[in-house]
Amino acid sequence: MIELKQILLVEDNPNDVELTLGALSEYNLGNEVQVCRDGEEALDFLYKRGAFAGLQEGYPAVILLDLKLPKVDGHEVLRIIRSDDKMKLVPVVVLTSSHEERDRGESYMDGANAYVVKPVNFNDFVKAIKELGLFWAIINEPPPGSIRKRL
Amino acid sequence: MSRQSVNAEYYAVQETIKFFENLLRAAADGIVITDLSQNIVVANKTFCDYLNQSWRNVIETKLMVWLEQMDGEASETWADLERTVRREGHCHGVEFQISSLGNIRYLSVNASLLEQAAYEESGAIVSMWRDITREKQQNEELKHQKAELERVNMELEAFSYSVAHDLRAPLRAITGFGELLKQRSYEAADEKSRHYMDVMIESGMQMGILIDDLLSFSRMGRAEMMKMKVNLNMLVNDAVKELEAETAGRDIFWEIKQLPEVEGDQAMLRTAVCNLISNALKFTRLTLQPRIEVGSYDEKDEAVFYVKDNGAGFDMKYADKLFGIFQRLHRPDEFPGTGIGLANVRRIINRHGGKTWAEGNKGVGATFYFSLPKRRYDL
Repeated sequence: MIELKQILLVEDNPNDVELTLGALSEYNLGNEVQVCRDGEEALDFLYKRGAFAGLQEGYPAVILLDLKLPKVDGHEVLRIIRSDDKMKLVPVVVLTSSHEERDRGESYMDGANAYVVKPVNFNDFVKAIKELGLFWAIINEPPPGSIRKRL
Repeated sequence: MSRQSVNAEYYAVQETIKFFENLLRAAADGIVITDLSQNIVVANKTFCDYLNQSWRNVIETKLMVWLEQMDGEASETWADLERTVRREGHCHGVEFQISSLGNIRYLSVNASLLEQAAYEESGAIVSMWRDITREKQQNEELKHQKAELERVNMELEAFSYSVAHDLRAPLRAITGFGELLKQRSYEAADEKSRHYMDVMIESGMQMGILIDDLLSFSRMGRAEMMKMKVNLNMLVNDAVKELEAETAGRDIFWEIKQLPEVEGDQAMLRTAVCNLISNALKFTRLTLQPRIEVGSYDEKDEAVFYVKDNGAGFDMKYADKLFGIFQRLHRPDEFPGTGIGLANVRRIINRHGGKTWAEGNKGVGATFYFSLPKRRYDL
């Protein structure tokens, strides 16, 4: 019996979404990825409100969070997650193009678990995503309250 | 005393007085003598011109009356000045703001007690008033220009950073989907199609390197320098080790002389040294018996370092292009590279207060130099 854990990918660039999903599918994680295209959508999904009302309760095993997002940006999403009593334990990996020390420092201060810079080189990018997926969605045990699907 | 000698003495004294009056009149600074009650006992034309008054209107009037009319705290400043002079005997460089006819003049005043028997008891003060208006204006202008330059530089660096940064996402898409395409169709594709795919992906990679170089170049300009003692020999040895991949299998003759310790930012100097050695290795790629020499020599105020190779060299005609950003003197198929290494070196050394230059001989070799100013206590 395999338990599939859910990944939330918050990314506004459709090409990056496609490449990320492709990379994750190598470990058969592709189907369990919820994609949200901006901060507002991500929060709606996490709070199970708006377009996501009525969905199964529980949180993703990991949130892959881009920083530069429309409407509500990644920094703000992270802060909101960390300030919510129920959500604050969910692992968040900041996945961004920014090398800026300012973004890195701020992300860690706001409580990110990890900070990964998206490699420009495609092969490196795929490798990084696969390894992230392998660790956070397969090897790591998420906090209680995360969604699991039994196959 | 005979009448003639009295006349002669009188005449001599008059001549002396006239001589000093002429001196006062010719003086470029305003000269004033004020007594204990701040009466203007002596004033020259230059000072009266500052007040835009005739000498007759100024002499025997109170200095404070004129100063109180001015904007700013001229009268308080004079009161302070007088207190200092009476306490310490003199003072220098006191700044005043004088306005007349709507023009503002800035004056720098030196003053001292008059040490003359006739004046001592009267506590008279002699003051020299120098017009520094132009100097002040020039300083203000310089300050503005400097601030503007700094602002423009920061904008340029932020711009190049954000451009390089924004280019990464679409570039990732190009190389990413290019690779995916290649994975799906390489086998089935004909030779030309394969070639096209390879060129596209290769160009994408090249662009990625360019962008990274540009990013690090702009970051180099913005980062703060951490000054410390740096062992250049250590940096050279580290560079040689780091570049092992490029030296593997090649029989390179290294001559690394003993280099002095310098003061600078270690990380930046490491990059500079690495760039120079990497260049030497790159351009001796086609040389049968490559020889790379690293050494230094002393100049009066600076220490000069060089990396000398017997590689492809370059035409001195183009020497000034070498350190320009993205400037290359060889075609990509001759020697690969983005042309930013030397621009980085120049930028780093400039920030250290040094200079960079090079000498080359096509087909014979090249020597790249950089200087670092000696620490003050080494001179």
